[in-house]
Amino acid sequence: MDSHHDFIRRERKRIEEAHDDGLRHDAALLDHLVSGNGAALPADVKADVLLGGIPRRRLLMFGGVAVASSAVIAACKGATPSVQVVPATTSSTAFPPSTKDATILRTASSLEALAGAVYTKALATGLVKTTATSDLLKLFQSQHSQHGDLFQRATRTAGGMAFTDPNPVLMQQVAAPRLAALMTEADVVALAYDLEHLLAATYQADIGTFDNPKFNTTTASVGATEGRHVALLAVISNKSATGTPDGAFQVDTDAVKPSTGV
Amino acid sequence: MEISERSLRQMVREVDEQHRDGMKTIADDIAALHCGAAERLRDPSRRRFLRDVGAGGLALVVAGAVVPVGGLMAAASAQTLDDPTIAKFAESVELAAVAAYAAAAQSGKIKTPAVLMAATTFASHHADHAKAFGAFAGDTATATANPGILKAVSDQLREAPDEAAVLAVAYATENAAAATYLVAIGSFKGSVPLSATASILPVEAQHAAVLGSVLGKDPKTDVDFLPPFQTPDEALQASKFPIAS
Repeated sequence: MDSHHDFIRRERKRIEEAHDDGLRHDAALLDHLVSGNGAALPADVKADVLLGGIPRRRLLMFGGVAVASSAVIAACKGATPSVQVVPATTSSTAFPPSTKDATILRTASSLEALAGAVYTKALATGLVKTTATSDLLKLFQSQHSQHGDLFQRATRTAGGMAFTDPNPVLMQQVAAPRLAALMTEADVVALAYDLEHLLAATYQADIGTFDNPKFNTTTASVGATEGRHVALLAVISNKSATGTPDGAFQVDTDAVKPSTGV
Repeated sequence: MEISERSLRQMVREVDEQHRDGMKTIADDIAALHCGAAERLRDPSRRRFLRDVGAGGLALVVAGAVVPVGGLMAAASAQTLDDPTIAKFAESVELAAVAAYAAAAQSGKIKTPAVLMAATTFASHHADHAKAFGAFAGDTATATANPGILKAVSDQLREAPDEAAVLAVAYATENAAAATYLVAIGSFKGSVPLSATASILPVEAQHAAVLGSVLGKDPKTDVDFLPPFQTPDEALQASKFPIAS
């Protein structure tokens, strides 16, 4: 046990050092830009650097509060992906284990667990008085549970260890503040809409990035359902009379980067 | 275009029951789909087919279009369909949808202004999708609506007695398009058409969800309304609906 504790202490120290190094670097860069020393840089470039290299349009509008996707990503900066690739569970797997695929799928299952947790907390507030809306949100919640199960199985197929908890970074930085600010039923619906759109965007962005192309279909089979959720919530919340808030093509600007929080 | 509370409650309750039923087999379904050994998917869903017939035939909009996915999927897995061919077929599907919405709008059967607005909007989306797929098809693009799909849909629209019937045709068409693009996502090799299709599929699903809610869909008779997973069950088959030459 002592050696185990030593290992944990060493790892903690190593992570803290890496974290501090990263902060020092970021602080120096921010000082440089904010103090005006970076005035020669075009405004867009400066903004992108300040936002972590992500264009401003990628600000994640989560309700009235704009949260930079990069802030979420930065929270994981320097962290070693925690995916542990294990031998595939079945011999029928045509593709070898893929850390990349497992990471994408772990992130996906963490988002589904996040959705489930957010719906639980939001419904527990008692703010949703309309029975039909409450029932609809419960249905969506149950479907996210199913989606989570699918992504967990897919993670194992990819040779990874399934991630079953709500995404900790998004919960802390994005969902928790919104949950704390809920005041009305409309707030709950707006939160659900933003959440569903984030999931739909993430799965859209994931498609085409897998080593094993079979996971494209897995992800699309879930993403389309999130799209249906978005449509109904968009109509209910008056965000779009036609249920197509993004127009002809769904956009993925609020997609969550794989490995975030997992 | 508001969803009535009654409709929502009804669909939620019944879809929930179907989800529970569906979950009993979803693991096998997905596994089969992923492994390319989708025995169940190779057969026309007899249960769904009979249910749709029992629902009044409207879901058979693309009657022959409710096709087994096996053909296209198997062909794609055998790499007999290249990306331009898939894109060309998708372009023809989109243009058929554009023409169908135009016919619906001109039929005079759509009386509700909000519904007409939605139909017009959806038609413009399909036109944009057609342009995208046409670009991926390159020199092989035909810029022509799929004749078989257009005929099937047009016949249904002509026979539709009222607005609800017209919307039911559109609803089934949108679901068929969504299913088709799920198959396409499993078939495209290039990252660009793959990404584009990933942005189009959810929009077809959104169209279907909204149309279904306007129709007050009863999930007991239509499992395509708010399914837990998009399936390829109603995918359109290129071999069944050849592209105009």
